[in-house]
Amino acid sequence: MSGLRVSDATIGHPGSGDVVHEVSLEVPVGGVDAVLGASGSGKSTLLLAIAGLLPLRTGEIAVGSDVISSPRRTVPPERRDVGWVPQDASLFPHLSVAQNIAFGLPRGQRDPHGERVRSMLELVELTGFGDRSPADLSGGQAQRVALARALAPAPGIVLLDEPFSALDASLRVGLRREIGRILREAGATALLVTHDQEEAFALADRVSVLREGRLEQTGTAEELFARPRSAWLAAFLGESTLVPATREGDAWATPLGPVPAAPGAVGDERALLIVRPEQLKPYAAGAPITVHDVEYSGHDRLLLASADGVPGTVLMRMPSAVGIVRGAVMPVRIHGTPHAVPLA
Amino acid sequence: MGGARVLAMLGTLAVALLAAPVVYLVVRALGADPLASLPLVLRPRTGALLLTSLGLALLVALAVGALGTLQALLLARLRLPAPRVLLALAALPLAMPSYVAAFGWLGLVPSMQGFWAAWLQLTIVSTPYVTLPVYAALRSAPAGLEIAARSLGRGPIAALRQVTWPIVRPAATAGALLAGLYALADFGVVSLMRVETLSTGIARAMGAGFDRSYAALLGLVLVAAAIALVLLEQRVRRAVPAARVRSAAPLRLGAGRWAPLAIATVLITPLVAIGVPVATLVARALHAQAVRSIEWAELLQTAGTSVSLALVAGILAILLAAPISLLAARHPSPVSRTLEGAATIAHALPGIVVGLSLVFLSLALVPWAYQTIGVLIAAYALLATPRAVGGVRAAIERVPVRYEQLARSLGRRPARAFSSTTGRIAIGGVGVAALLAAVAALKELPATLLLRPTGVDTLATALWARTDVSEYGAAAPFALVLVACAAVPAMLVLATAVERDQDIDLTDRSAAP
Repeated sequence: MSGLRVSDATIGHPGSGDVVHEVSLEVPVGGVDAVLGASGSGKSTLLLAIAGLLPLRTGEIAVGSDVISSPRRTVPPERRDVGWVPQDASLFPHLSVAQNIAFGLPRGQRDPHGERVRSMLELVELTGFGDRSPADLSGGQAQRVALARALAPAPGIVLLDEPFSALDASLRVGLRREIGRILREAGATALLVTHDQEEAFALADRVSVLREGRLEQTGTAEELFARPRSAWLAAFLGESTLVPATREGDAWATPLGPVPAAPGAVGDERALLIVRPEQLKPYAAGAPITVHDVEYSGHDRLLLASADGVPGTVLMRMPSAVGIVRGAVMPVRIHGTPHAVPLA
Repeated sequence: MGGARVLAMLGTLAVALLAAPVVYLVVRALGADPLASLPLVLRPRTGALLLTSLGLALLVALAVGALGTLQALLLARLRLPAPRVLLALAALPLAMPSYVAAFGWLGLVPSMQGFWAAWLQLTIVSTPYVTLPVYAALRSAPAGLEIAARSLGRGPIAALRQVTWPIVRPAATAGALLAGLYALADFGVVSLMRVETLSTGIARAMGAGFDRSYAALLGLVLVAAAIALVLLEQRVRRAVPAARVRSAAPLRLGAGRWAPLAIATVLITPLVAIGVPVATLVARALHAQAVRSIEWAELLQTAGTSVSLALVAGILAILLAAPISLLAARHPSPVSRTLEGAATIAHALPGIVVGLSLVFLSLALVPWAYQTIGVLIAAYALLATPRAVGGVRAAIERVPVRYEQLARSLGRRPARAFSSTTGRIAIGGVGVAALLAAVAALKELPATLLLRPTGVDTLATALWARTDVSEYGAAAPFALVLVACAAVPAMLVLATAVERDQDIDLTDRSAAP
């Protein structure tokens, strides 16, 4: 059963054109998924529609078996089973931490010193913080309280809107792990909306990439990186070289030498090969690339290079490259069978 | 959506109520036969009054622009001792009713009469209208701009003039025009200093000859001039660059041996507007004979009347302003902008014109209500509402709409979501707006003179009845109580603003004299 189901949703702000076009996605019960997109991709608009703050123009949104949005009917935010953790936490400044968490509990159970609030504080590891004012919390603590507030009424789905963007880079990774733990411990179904792919892939089981209001592809990190459906997605995810290729029998002819074609790959005459940096290897009889820069990262290094016939930057990963300097010319070839996508 | 429609209807009703008296004034002034009234308008006296009013407004605006900008520059760019105290002192004249300042000076220098005396008084009390917004603009102008200009070969003065001044200029111009507007609308100062302007002309026509048609015509001319000024001010204000990302505030320079001169320049306005008049009034009130003759019972009674009328007016003003402000803050649309714009223009209406219009309107519609407390409260509410609109709007806008959306996602219906978040958080700001609106009503003089029921006295009218020099000692206690009542809430607001180091926001204009 799905926790959240969005089918063919078209959404726009009142008085202006469509921002999201026929997007479909599904989060299974207990799953943590992400919507990844650049600013202007429509991810925030999609979020507002799921929260019930924007109506649908086409399609349907359902939580569990309840349809909560359709072009005919938008269930108001207070009557849909959707929790929301905003970007900046937005804790109610006039209420204490415990009162914030109790805010969404059913009338009669809104006791800031009650069992539910206590267990939520424990869940987010802020036991003893209940009587504090939101102003006295650090950014990460505030974000955890916001999550506790959203989870307290046990919503069918909880939406996380760029929950880490207001924090220092040094705090993000820690809070990200913490939030992943909290969500899974609470058994919550969650949808994370973010522009940061590292965040999306670290926290979510599956990621849906939005491009200009349309769904580009949904999949796990492995699926998206290894088998992107388009050149745009490969370029958006980065970390690979787009090499133009022409079909010659069982092989692709490329500026970096011939490559065996995977069975059932793109049937067209011409395609782009998604070559990951580790798929390029030095090869004495290969095509020359010119190294422009070397980026060191831990135990290996990434060469930024160019080659005749390849429009963008050529990326190549080398373990502890010896004697490679800027301006060096090095013959290489493509190793393995890279994924092919249609020309953009 | 339904909520927005209800608000729009209520807001339209509020604006209609605000506009009704003046619309009726126009109808009445133009009368059945506009051509017949033409000779009346074209009387040389009308021209002379208009010229004096406009000249006074223009010269006050120029002087306030120059002095205010200078004060702001000194406060924003020099390292002076106790900068926040200096800033608060520079803002202080806003709390002083201008006619009380003038009255205080007359106690010291009885010969202080005429156009230039009125010009000086009005300039001094209005200077903060430029000082404060220009100070705020100077402190928030990105420091990088001037540094860039300096690195491109400009000296400090040239960088200030070529890079910073263009950013600050709209704030200075808008503030100066606002000061001009108050000079145009002023009744108390020009009466005391015996200058004949449009507003004293109206009072005279209503008083001695009871020439209502001529009063209505003068009122019309005054309204036209005031609205022209306020439209100009709005146009200039729109040019103020939108709030940008805060960057580091510009550095302050050491003042060195110029510090005393700079401090004196800042302190001249509070000293002249408040220090000297209050000292004179206190001295006169404490004079042995005067102390004995203080009419305690009457003083207490008028203070009570003033405060209660003002509080009722403040609450009414909030009720009238609320739909307009709420709509502007939460459902911006052409409708909300029109309503807010109309309310802002209503701010241009001088007290004397509102009084005059309500005399006509009440006589025409509800003659039995003429000279009852109800019409007087209506006048106060009309005058105070435009001042409350901005304050209420700002209080609501300061609360992110997100809180309401979150409250709804946590199960609250729209009305409950509003009352449990925005309503709770904004209540303090709305209270301050009510207080400022009440103070505007408390200080009101000309409309009260026209509309008060026989036997009812406010602090302002009681003071007015005793402005003869021979009664100075008797008038002083009324003046001092008036200053105390008017200054306390304004001081509280300014103090919190300074303490939080906020830019003191004059766009809501709730602190108008």
